[in-house]
Amino acid sequence: MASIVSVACSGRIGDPNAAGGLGKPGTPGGAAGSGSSKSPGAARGNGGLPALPDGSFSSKATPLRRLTSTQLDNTVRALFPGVALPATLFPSTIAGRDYTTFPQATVVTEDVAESMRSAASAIAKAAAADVNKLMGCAPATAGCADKLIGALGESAYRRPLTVEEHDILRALWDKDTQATPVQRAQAVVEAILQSPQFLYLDDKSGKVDASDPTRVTLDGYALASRLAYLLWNSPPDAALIAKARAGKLASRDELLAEAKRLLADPRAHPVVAAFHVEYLQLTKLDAAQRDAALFPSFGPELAASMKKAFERFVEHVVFDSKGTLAELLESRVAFVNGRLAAVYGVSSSSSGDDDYRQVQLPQGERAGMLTRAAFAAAHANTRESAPVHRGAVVLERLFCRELEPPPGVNATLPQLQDGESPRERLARHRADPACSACHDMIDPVGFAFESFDAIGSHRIAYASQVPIDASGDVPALGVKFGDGVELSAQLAKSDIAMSCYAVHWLRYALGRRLAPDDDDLAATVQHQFIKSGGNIQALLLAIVGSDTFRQRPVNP
Amino acid sequence: MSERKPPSFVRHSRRFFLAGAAGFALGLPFLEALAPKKQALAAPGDKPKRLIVVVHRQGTVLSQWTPSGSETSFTLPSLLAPLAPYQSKLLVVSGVDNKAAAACPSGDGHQRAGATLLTADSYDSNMETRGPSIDQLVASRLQGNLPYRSINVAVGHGGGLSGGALKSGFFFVGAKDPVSSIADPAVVFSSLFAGKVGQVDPSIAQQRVRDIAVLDAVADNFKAFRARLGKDDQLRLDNHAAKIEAIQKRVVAAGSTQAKSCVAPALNLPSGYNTRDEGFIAPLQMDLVASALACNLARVATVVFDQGHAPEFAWLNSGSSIVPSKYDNWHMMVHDGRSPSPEPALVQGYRWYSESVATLLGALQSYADPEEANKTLLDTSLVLWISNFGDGNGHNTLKLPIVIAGTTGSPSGMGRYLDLSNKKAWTDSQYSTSQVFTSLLHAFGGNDAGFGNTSVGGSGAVPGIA
Repeated sequence: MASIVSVACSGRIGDPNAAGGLGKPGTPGGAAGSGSSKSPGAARGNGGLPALPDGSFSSKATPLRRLTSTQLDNTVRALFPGVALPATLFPSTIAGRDYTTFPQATVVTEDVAESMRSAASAIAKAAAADVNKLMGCAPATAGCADKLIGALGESAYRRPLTVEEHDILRALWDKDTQATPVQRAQAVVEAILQSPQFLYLDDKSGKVDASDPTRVTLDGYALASRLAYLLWNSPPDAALIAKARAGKLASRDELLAEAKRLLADPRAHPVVAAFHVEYLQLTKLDAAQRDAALFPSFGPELAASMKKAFERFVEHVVFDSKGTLAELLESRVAFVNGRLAAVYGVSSSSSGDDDYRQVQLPQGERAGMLTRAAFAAAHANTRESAPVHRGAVVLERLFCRELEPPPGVNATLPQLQDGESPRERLARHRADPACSACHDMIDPVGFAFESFDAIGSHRIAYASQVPIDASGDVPALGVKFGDGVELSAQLAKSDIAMSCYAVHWLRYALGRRLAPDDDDLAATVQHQFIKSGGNIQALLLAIVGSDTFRQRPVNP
Repeated sequence: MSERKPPSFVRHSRRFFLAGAAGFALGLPFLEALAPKKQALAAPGDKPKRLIVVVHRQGTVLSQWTPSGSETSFTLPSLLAPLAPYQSKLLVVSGVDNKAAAACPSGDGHQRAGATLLTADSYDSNMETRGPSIDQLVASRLQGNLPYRSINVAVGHGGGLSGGALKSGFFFVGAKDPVSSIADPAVVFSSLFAGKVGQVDPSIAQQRVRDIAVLDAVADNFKAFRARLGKDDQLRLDNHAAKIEAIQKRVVAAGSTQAKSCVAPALNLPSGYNTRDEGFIAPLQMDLVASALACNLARVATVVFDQGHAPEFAWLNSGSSIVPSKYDNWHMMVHDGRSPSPEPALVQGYRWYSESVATLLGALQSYADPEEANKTLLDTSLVLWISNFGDGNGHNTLKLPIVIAGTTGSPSGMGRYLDLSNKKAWTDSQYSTSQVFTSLLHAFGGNDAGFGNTSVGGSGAVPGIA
């Protein structure tokens, strides 16, 4: 059992498993080795920066990624400006255990394919209604069909069409001799919107690197798409495409200059906010239900408000404030409407559900994203908080500890006995050594947030009058705290937390978990992130500037 | 006059299904055409023509589920009692383990038990399946020219993918290729029936020609794009391309005489119904499945009760959750259900799944086989009802509750209880789901040596099933 348990709870800061804890300043962090000989500094405690490797290229390919529903939606709206389209176009992409950018999340089932076909049909009908406007020429004139196919095709595929791809659409235009120009244009749009060149990120083009024949440097179009979808969830704009066409994204500096431009644009804000919703698994709020007798204020409106307020908070920190992970973990700034003001026990002059006013949350009760109602409520059951879930999320997302129950373990949680606190119940559960190996870390970290009930209201005692004890001491993780506010403060100073946060952005950006091949990439990005003082925009620029972002292995 | 039993939706029919006089007027020709001409018991040895797989989550309470008695003379316990009217058409199987769950490289108990339940194979390091689930393998063999590979519906939840579809994590066409299930009866109805069966409007024939041309161009684009990819990416792209191909096949077939011969049922739902209200949704989905099979839209159907964590079974308790307040939710009560006399609410909730399966069997019995008018759909179908866990409190994959109904084609006929158990709690059983599913493949005429991961599940069939 011991070996299984050690596999289950240890790890490396790279991926898939990170080891160790926050450690003490000046020490290498005990068990916090990276597990890799290539980047021994990648996962130290608070002892300093990870060593910067020579390069940041990963020989593991980025998988073929389909655009998410958000990305598809933004792309269609950019393709057909001024065309009235339904509010919801494509089947929504659900993150699952990883991120929406992962191929597993965007897999196309038959139902999804049917829905996408219906969407393509509806969009094509709306777009082709004014066929002259769509085509930019009189349909019957010579060359007009080719003009549509070339121009619309290039916008939709985010690169010029190959001759073969052009011919496929031209043959479709010509095929039905009975059809009107509107019907022909509609057919071409419908085909484009269901084709892989539109639906997937095509990053296969480029040239073999002159100094390293195992790498291909992506061409400008592929880089423009990678960049725009990462930072905007949208297709490249005209300026970015112009740079791609002119070969002006070839150097790292040119690409970084564009990345900075995109980050300075408001289109980046909801994308960064949405990442954090996935990062802390707050999408669970979408289906959250609470016992109405205990929480009469909870419903879809309050759940949506929690998520919206969380997004506003992230956008504020990253784009309107210091922009660091530490601030995300410690800031008491919040944006609340009336519903949320009641949960937080603050006063707000909000005039309605959509009116979020900036407030300071009560000192000592709240600090940063882990103490928000959104986090507490997303990880709770119908009647009570779910400390094990909360602890598991923090362990996975801030310590990069992978948690895998050993197979065959009876996961029965003992029933709460009269006069017993949830903490005592879990202590009985941990009496089994098969459970304790992981739960000795999960449970105390989760209990740090017991001051927040199943909808995130602050409390000092359970309904049973048993007082809340949110303190914890977890030597294996290098943390000791009186409550979630104190734990958040320790995480805010932690290189481990910063390294792990960087791993999650890398997963999101690459659409896959990291492998040993990614050690140089991870160490480079972690180094630059920590060196910047944990600045989140600096982290994104480090990812964009990495060799892995700009290049791919020659043999995928 | 046919002997068709009142369909289950009659309980609701005044308000929403085949609603009111107008609804019945629309539905009647369909019902008469499809009702069995006379009730004939399936003869022992009749081969099944279609497969319906029903899955609910969280296992059962085995002490209340396991029949007593002998193979041919047995008593159904409380959790199976709702199936008593169909006892002569049941084959209850106890003592079979899902042995693939433990072979997974990662994942928690729910993940392992889910994705391996019907594939009988461990998933890969990305938690993606390596092969098909039993329903989809059978579907690929039986589909022939029918428009759908399988009809897949969910009871509970919704949301998720728009159109009310969700990925339950049980059904897979093949490696990395999940099947989604539709939780909204209105979407099931419109995608299967609305404008798609019955008389085809000739004015849309020209539109169909254009639709086919568009899908041809899309298929060509898939071929052009595929050449740019590496092997792993090609598999994902091919999985997607296969869906386009399936849609195209349906569009091509939409004008066929086969489709024209079926008259669509009518569905009239009240506004504001909730797809999470399982008590309301379940009978509708069961009827839609049966009517789709009666229309020969597919040979295979799947039904998944998607809510495992916090179903409230409020429809059994005047709108309030049946879960006592000392438990956070159903899942926590399931974990606690090991006492010899479990919570009455636990038995009540589990029993409801049994009632819903009875509803399905009733619906199947109410329709004639589309090719053999003297037999009911139930006579010529194999229904498999299974759960991801054995005893819910243990959350393990030992001694899964398995009920087969309809026909397996076995010379011994139905109306049997196959006790394969080793009688020991918490230990491995002799037989695996690999072997049960191999039996099912044999029932459908296959000569497969095994199914799924035979190195952990063993090869060969379970004696006495098919």
